[in-house]
Amino acid sequence: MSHAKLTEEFLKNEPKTDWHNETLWWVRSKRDVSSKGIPEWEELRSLASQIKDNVLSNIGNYLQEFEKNALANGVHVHWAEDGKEHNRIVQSIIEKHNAQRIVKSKSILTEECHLNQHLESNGFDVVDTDLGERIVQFAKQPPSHIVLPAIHMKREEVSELFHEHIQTEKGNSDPQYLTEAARNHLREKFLKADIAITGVNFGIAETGGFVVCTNEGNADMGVHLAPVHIACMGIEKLIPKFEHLGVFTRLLARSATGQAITNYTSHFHQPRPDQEMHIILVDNGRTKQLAREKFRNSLKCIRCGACMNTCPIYRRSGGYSYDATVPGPIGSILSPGFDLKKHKSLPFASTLCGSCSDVCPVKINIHEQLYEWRQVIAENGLDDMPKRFSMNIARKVLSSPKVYFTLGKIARKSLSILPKSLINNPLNAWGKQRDLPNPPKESFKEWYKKNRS
Amino acid sequence: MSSKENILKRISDLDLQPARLPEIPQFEGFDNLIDTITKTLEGSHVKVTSVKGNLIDSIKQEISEYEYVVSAVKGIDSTMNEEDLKSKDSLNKVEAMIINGKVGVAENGAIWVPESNMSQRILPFITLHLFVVIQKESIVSNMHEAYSKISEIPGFGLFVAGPSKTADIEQSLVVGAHGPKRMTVFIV
Ligand code: SF4
Repeated sequence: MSHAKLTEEFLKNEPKTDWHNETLWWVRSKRDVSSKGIPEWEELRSLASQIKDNVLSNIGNYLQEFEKNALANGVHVHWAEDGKEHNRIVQSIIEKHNAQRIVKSKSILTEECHLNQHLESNGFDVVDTDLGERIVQFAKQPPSHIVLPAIHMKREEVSELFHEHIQTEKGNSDPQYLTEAARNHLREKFLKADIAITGVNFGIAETGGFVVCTNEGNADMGVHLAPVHIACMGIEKLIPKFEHLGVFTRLLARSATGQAITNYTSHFHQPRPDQEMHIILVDNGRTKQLAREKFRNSLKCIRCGACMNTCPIYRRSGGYSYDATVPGPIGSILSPGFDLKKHKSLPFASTLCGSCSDVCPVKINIHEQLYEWRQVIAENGLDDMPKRFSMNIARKVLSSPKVYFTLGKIARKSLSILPKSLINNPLNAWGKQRDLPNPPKESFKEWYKKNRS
Repeated sequence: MSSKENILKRISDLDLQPARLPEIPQFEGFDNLIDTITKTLEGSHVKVTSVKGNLIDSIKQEISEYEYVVSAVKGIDSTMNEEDLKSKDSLNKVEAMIINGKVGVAENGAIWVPESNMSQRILPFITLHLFVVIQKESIVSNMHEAYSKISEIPGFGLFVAGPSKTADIEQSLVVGAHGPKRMTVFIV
């Protein structure tokens, strides 16, 4: 279904849409204040972008360097071509350990690979431990935002879900109370877990280690208690050196939520003596995107979510309207690379205002890439017919002054006599909330001729 | 061909020209590091105690209400022994964990703790209240300086900047998500 169609669903509840819009704008404003707290902010963005340019241009060597160093640290390294292989690797590790209970912290990559569905259908119990992710897991939904997974839900809905799943008091929707209940419920899960799965924020080629950032501490609660840690990492998450963490840790949290740094920035290099540590390097379309020169930059993304919070479309359409693992502006340039046909409406879900590119901490030219995708979609004949038809006519009209002038005359006349149904009809999405304007009596050209010549 | 070979081949087939890796310049720091880190930490719901007299006395005073104490700081006794801490159920009882921080970052309040200072990796997370001791001299301005001070990379190392928190329900902040509900920093 197209983005516009799915948005209609979201817009049905107007107060909630307003709340969503305003809340994300508030997060964006916190980012603004926070970024201004660092005088060299713009320089940091450029550095981050250049470091990622270097990574992408040399990623084969960095991957091998990373693997060599991780192996030397006593970490098992696996390579996965796609989501399916990634899921098979995770499953084989779980089976090797005869494990049943799995706790997982936030990882967009595992969402992308549909790991939970895979494991559940094979009889394993997977518990998402990030509060927002646990909420959407109870609701049997995917996250609607990459940093704020349950931002589309109001507290009353969370209260209902918790009442049903972890027996909280009916009608008590106090966030403090609900969070405490989730804490107790998840503490049990942490203590009993056989395997902890995490994502990776940064993989360091030079040292073979990786960094995971959270505020809740859920990744660490899982990993340090369980006998096995599996870290899942997209190959583009690499950075060359340990010192580069300085640049990225200064940018990430400020861009994401406006806080100065996440409360926990955990650096993993070796397993505990009584623990096994695995890292899975996943391609799943990334090398394909790397090959598309115009879209290569999209692989710099550090998943901060700032482009979503600032996007006037995302704020008013909600994460689910994108029908993709990563929603919002960055998702709209990543998803067409996975499946152009399915996601052909996404590059049009933008005003091209450029706000996304302005806030992006790694300076991805998001709005320009959206525009590039539109052209690819048109070249492939995948754009929608009415728009293509009207654009063709527009081209003919605008290229001939004579035709333009004559048609203008007709239009001014007809605007005043045509029935409203011409614009307010079901075939015309633009007319849904709009009316025809009152036409001017004459064109500027006619006016100029009369008054000035 | 293995997946590794396939992935690497697809990359090498692109024949990309390596882009230059930039140098990270030195950025200007803060004049008053202690004031800055104190303000940042307090903004992140951390209680900051500037120790004028005896550190051990200050810590003892702060932890007096707790029964289950684990200390990695000399001079403070743990009430739980090694054997106790082998079971997850007793780990779950820990109320106060006291550790030494190695580097403090004024700009964001993050304090570096290598695993050798934690006694067990899980302890700074599973405890109800985390206490961190940091020396004045080890406070730096920003993350670049902090990383350059970490000469030995531990098997596990942590920058901790506050108690565990979440805002996943309607963006309303709750302190004490999965880990510590309180954090106290002693600046010595
Ligand atoms: S594209 Fe940029 S702004 Fe958007 S999530 Fe990625 S890093 Fe953040």
